[in-house]
Amino acid sequence: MGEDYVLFCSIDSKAAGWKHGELRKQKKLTGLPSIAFLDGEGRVLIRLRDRATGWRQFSTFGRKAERYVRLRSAAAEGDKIAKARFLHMQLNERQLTLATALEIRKEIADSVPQRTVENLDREILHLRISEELRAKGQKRRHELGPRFYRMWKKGPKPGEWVGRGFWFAILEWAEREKKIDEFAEAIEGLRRSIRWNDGDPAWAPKLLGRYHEKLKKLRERK
Amino acid sequence: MRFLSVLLISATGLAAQERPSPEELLKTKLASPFLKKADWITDYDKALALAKKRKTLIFGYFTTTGP
Repeated sequence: MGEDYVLFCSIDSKAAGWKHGELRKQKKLTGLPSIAFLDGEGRVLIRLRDRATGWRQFSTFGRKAERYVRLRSAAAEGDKIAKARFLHMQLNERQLTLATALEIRKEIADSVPQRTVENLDREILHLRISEELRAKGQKRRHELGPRFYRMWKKGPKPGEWVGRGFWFAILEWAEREKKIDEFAEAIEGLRRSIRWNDGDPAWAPKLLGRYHEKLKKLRERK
Repeated sequence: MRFLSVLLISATGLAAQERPSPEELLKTKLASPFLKKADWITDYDKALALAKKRKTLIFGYFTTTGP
């Protein structure tokens, strides 16, 4: 690894004379520890989301970072296919605003296969969902519940890997409105989302258990 | 009451004494075995300069001194 890349360990610290003691925060890396590839300009390219447990995962992570740089160069030179692939990577890395993503999508939509556009649209939908959730905040996200539920049933349907916030909005709305079937469906959705995005985390059974308890109470009150 | 205040002040003072300073915490972190196992650079400016010189990427591990 050290032969292929520069190994840099950033340490958060308030020690006197320690430079860049808040670098992690500046780079908007929230996890502890956080692992990310940066370029020579210090730009974060990709973050490692899964807990890597072996060389193979790190190696894949490295190849992904190198691909990011290749696509970025090709996209800058005007290659539309590269632009589409790079947009997909940036969407996965949550590096774009919705407005920027839509602008790039518009520019390339006629030059890339329809399947590619569909894949991009799904990721853009995820970005739209997360921006709407952010705008509402935790206290009011239940207001998005009915529309998110309709989206899930009738489309445009997000992928299974849509963030947990999508399901929290539906759960909180369904609980308030005592919509038992919708609540039960959303627990399943949340379970799949966790599976996709986080694997099998230790906190999942407790979280899901709490929702199953609520479901039980909703059924009893009916 | 006065006794309680004295006790509380003493306890707070002791806690402050026992808590390592940021400098001590950093020193301990820099002595971590994992940092010795590879050629880790802990200076950001040096890492950037080396990445540019070698035309390669930086594998960044972001951690803290805190518990």
